[in-house]
Amino acid sequence: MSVKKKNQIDLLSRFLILAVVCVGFALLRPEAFLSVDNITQVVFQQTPFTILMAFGMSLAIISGGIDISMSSTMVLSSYLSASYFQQGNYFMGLVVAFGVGLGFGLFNGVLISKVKIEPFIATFSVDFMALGLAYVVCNGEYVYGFSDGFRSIVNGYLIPGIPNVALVTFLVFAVLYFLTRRTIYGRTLYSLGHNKKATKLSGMHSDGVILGVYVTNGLLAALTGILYLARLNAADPSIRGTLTNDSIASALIGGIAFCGGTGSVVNTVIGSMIIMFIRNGMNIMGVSTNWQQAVVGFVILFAIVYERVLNNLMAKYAGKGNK
Amino acid sequence: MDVKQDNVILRMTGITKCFPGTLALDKVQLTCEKGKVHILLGENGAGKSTLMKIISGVYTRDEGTVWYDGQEVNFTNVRQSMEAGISMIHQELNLLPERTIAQNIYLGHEPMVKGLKGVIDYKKMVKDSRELMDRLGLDLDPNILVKKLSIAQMQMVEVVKALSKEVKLVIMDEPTSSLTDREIDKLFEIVEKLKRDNVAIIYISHRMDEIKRIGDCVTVMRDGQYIDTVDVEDMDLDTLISMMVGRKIENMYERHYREPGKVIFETKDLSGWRFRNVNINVREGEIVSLSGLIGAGRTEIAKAVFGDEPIEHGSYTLYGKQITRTTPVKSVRNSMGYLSEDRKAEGLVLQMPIKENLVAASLTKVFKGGVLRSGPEDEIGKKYVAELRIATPNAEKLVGELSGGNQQKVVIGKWLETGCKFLIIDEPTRGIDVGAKSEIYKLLDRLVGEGYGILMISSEMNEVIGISDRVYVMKDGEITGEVTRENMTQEAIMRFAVGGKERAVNE
Amino acid sequence: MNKSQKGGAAGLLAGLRKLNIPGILIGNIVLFVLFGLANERFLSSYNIMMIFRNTCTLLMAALGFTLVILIGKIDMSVGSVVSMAAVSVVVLYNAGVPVALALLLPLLIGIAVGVINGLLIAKCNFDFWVVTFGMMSVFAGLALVTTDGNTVAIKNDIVNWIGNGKIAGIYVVIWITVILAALMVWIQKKTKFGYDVFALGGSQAVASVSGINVVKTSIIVYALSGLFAALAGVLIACMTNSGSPAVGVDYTFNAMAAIVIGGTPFIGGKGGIGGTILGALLMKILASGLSLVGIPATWQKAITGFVIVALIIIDVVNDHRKNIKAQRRVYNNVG
Repeated sequence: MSVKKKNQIDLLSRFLILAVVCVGFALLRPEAFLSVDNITQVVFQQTPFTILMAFGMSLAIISGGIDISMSSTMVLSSYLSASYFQQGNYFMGLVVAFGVGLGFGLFNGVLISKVKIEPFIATFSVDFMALGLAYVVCNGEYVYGFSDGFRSIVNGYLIPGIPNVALVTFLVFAVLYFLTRRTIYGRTLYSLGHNKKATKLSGMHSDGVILGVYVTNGLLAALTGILYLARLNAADPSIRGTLTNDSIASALIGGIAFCGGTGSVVNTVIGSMIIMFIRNGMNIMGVSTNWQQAVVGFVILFAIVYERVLNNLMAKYAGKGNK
Repeated sequence: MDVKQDNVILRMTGITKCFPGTLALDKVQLTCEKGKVHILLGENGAGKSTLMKIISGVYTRDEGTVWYDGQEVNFTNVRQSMEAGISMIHQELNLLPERTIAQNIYLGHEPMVKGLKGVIDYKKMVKDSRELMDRLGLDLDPNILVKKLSIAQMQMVEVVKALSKEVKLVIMDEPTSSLTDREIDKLFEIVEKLKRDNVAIIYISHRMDEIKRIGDCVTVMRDGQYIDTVDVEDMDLDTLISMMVGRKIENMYERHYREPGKVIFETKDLSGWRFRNVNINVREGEIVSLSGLIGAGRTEIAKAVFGDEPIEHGSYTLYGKQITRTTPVKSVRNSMGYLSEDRKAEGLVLQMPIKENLVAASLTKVFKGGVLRSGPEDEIGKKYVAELRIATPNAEKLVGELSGGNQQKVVIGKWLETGCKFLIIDEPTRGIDVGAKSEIYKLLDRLVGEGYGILMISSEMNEVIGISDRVYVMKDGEITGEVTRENMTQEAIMRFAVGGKERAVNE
Repeated sequence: MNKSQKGGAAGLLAGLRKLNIPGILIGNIVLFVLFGLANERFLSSYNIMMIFRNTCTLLMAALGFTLVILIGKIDMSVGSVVSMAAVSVVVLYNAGVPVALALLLPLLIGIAVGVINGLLIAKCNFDFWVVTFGMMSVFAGLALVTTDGNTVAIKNDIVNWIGNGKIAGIYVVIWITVILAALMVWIQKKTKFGYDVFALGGSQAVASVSGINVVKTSIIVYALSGLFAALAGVLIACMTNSGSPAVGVDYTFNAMAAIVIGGTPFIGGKGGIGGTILGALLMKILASGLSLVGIPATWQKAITGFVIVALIIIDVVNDHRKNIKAQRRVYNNVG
């Protein structure tokens, strides 16, 4: 079986999971779940945030690493930039938000590519640092109340029917898809995920690409933070919530294999949809958010088992085909 | 062969073992007697190590029977074979650097405090290790950490470890590959002692001089098949070699020697991890080999030159450009190629197609302005599949699904595509079957004919002698001698490799 | 001889190096002295007792976790198990379960989590990071579900005695922790299991060809990690007379920090519980000192975080450097 075909089957099976989730909830609560309002609400208003964060997680996982510092970076950057946005100083707001994202991204990237610290340990530490700082800066005071102009970057409609937040997400998707599938950067990224040493010894810019991944993640976190400010109309350290868990679960269930080198941002989008529809369905069923967190955990475990089973099945099928 | 039945400790018949994609062993047989040294001979990849791993329970066989010590056995893990009195000295060092010598010697069978199951008697362990090491002539403190030892000392600890329990059968997998003369003598004394104690020994080697010195009988394997077993007294060197390689040796190494051109690569007092003050050069149209024992520092030179490990002192010149600090990125730009000894881990991305591996070192040709153009990649793929005769229907196939020889061709193709003219090749034929080997040699010969300079690192003596113009020999991180084609013999090379410059061992 | 004449700081340093005192112990002493000079209340017997008392739950959670890091792996689920155990004690007791059972059943939960982790990782060969992260999510959620997100109080004399009672003037929790820590040090140093753990951490391949049962040992290691995390949770419930589903959130990071600062590197194979004890103590001395010096609570967490991150980075870099050194010197023989 060729790689391409394998990937297609894999992707198709992820669509199937999404379909099963949706059909399941549709059967349980057709009137609430199947309404146009509900579906558009989930797809265009709720999922984009998870998708943006999961993009970053996916890039890190594809490169053979992980980034659990994104949600804290997001919190810190949104909090620090909030007052500028509130005052209408968009320029400074953007500079501060993306500056913080860039800073933490660079820090992660240097720790991982130059100092050679395990990605998980490095980003776990940075996560702790960023969150600690966010609480120091916040000190129990919340910034809230933004102008309608600012809030329209999320709620406005540049294209009728599609909220701006979905538009932004689509643009990011297009850029990342191009970057990862059609450029040297992307080729090196996938090669790194499969085999770091061989990639380095082929003379590819492996350290630079790893640095690039974490910087991209920092910037994505900053972008998500700004969108969150506009959506929630407030800056609050607790918005970090379960975004890290959700984005890992999204990437894995979408088909980004944890060992690295496989999957694309398309998988991430599907994965995020699966997670968000599960959450939405449970909300409709009246299940508490506490249960939802446990379920997301189960999805992570299910995702790795599912991948193993699927690969074994495909290997078996391919073996038979050869004989 | 005449074998007394009651003396037989091990009898294996019809052993077959498949790994995904390859038949590693095909109906192999082997019979060992107590108090005898049974040599197992064969090239790399002949299946010797696989067979030994089946005896010791690391692998389980697919077919065949194993009789050991009077009964049929089927070991499914190492513990069972250990308890039955089988001990193995592995080719790769199996020691824990952060633990003491005593802890390593008794690893897995530590002496317990009497009456307390599971509680270890460290004092007894140290005492026993000291006695054992004294008996085997190794003068080291059992309390020091293994990471402080030299590679040769580690190898000796490994020997002590194998003999630290009641043994009936000892398997030695190329135990002398990192030992110097003095230690080899010591090891052979130990072997003689074991023979007197009626222990059977299976000894894997491809050093002919050793076979004559300690062997009683020889079994030859090739490409996973049993070829023949002969007594050492009746053995004729040439027939043995032809049994090993399956054809006359002349056909194997085809070299058209030419007058070499100008010097393209030259080191000047180069020092780095595990090597120092190295002065070597390679000329156009020349294959120059680096020879020496395992751990002599050969691979480290290659890695430092290519920029994977640091150069600490000195420099080298490549095409007249002096280089003191480098990285793989710069080395590729400087027109240098490096084929690592571990092809699968360091040379290829197994999960990617052939064509993507072929362009891995020359991405800018395929990504014009950083963006992928699909045309050139497919062309390059087709070109090398045809030119290097890579056995595959197309260049889309995953490299991991190719055989060792074809994988090596892909790595060579990757470097040819960069347009470099200087290649460092570490163990070019490791894990490659005989047919593909001679193809690789022919390819290397063709390349030097086109003006390439090749620096080759190899542990296969036949290969070194067969295709090199010159050989530099290393010992303990230093170049100890240079052998030219006129006087290139195994003895001449080994003299430099094990004797060196007669330095004191404990300096 | 010349060296001693040099005198001064250099001579002292050389002397210290000869004594081979672990850096972490020096770190503890230096911090202790510094805070003692900054605020005399720091050295009061009350404060010292409180430092030890505060160290208990962190150390408890780190005892089993150390073994996991020793075999070169990670257990992200430690913090969630701490929370889960703490709420379980309270919820079980309030549901009418006898107090002894209410204290013991949560330990079984911990062991169960560990065994599942171990099975998935060692037997099914899943990546240890994802598996334990998934378990972390699951049990963080379940802990919230158990009390519906609330902090629930428990009122029982035995529970209170374990948490706040004293024997011979020293808190019961300290006694429990000291005894269990000593037991673990002994297990690690003297038993076959302890030896196997170090072998696994050094190299799984070596352990395997030496006849060590890699799967079984790994499962036991994860089970112990779960057990000690649960013990920490039970102690927290006893000390606070309550169970809160968020109580364990920082335990994974803090325990990991204590272990790494204590000299067990992430690659495993060396270090051990002795160092972890000192590492946990160092973190609590730092916390106590910072609050006595008058640093506000929000800053304390950030500062502790920075210090830990710096120490982890130093540790990883240092280990990397040592490995390079080891590579370089292989051709030199030792007598």
